[in-house]
Amino acid sequence: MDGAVVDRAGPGLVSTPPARKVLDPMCTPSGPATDAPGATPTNLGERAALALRAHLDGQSEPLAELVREATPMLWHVARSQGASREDAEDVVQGVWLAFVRNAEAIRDPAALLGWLVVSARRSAWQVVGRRREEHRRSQPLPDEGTAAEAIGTPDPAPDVRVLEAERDRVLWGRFAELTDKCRQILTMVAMADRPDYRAIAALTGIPVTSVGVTRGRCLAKLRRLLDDDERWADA
Amino acid sequence: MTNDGTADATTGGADPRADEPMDSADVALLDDLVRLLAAVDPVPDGLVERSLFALTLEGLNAEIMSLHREEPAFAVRGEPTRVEVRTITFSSDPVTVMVSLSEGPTGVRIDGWTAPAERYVIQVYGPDGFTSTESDDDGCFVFPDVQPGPASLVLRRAAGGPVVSTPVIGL
Repeated sequence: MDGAVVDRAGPGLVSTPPARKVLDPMCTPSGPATDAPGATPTNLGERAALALRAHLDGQSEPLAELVREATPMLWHVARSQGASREDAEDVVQGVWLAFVRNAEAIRDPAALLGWLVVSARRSAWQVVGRRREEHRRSQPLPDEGTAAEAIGTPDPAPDVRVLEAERDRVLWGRFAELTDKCRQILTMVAMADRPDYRAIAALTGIPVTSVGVTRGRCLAKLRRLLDDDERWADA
Repeated sequence: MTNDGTADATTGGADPRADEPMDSADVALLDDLVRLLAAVDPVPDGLVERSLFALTLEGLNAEIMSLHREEPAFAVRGEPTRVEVRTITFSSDPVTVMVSLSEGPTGVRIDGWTAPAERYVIQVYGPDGFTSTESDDDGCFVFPDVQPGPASLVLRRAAGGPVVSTPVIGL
């Protein structure tokens, strides 16, 4: 099974930029609904697995492609934990380093993408915790209310002012109303060319068997929020 | 592309994960989200290159030196605010190196000193490769003109021994 995946995924895929734009109706039944091994060799999770095998074989280019492709996802995972931009950069670089340092210990290549995003989340979470601690220690007067609030979002940041189109602002605002879990899932699905359910499950802690359904609910929820927003219809 | 003969066992309709396939509106929405994420919280320029580059350095199996900043603050992360840098000191168990960065003919000039003063083979790694030089008996070395961007100095005693490298810094 793995051999077949490698062969089919080999050339063309690794150099493909993360473009998911094509949704061929012919492909939908087996496409987004599954990341079953062997079914969709074009999935980021599978490319990650290929990159790991290639890396262990001493080839560097597939890993380089993976770094190019998956870095934005890791970045957003780190940022979603509240890491500042600077810290998120360190987190992402640290995750890649941790990956090559531990590559030989990752027994299941198919789980690699999940490993990466979970590493990013934990690492970001740690750095955010450390920042809060530093902040707390540097505050001589514990003014509970404001302090806690101020440090709860060390770098809340996403700068919505850059969104000029009303439609974009509406979408962003509605997206922000979703639960953390929904936002994480949809971000992951959006960032990868195909959903990698194992990675999403690893990141969010929901069972892999529920990811598809949850993703569907989250999307439906978002679309409902947008449909109920007259600004969306107008835009 | 369809591979019904072998894939049915894993992709069949009985899969409990089976859920509604995304329709074109879903896909359009997700594409919009990607675009918005990129707009409101863009991945920093060069993060990919710096990550790749960190992996290259990791592949050297060098011990990473610790960085001691000196004034003014040093732009290690490639954010657009590039600050002129004067000197930075890196230390490790076997060697300490101080570098002074200044403007070169087309890029950056690096003047460095190692302590203890010994002959070292020194390489500056950048995303595009590396250049080498050697320090003199006093531990002095110069790279007259290095391309700006992320870089790491890699040092090995000319007589042999462990390799040490600096964290990636922005020149």
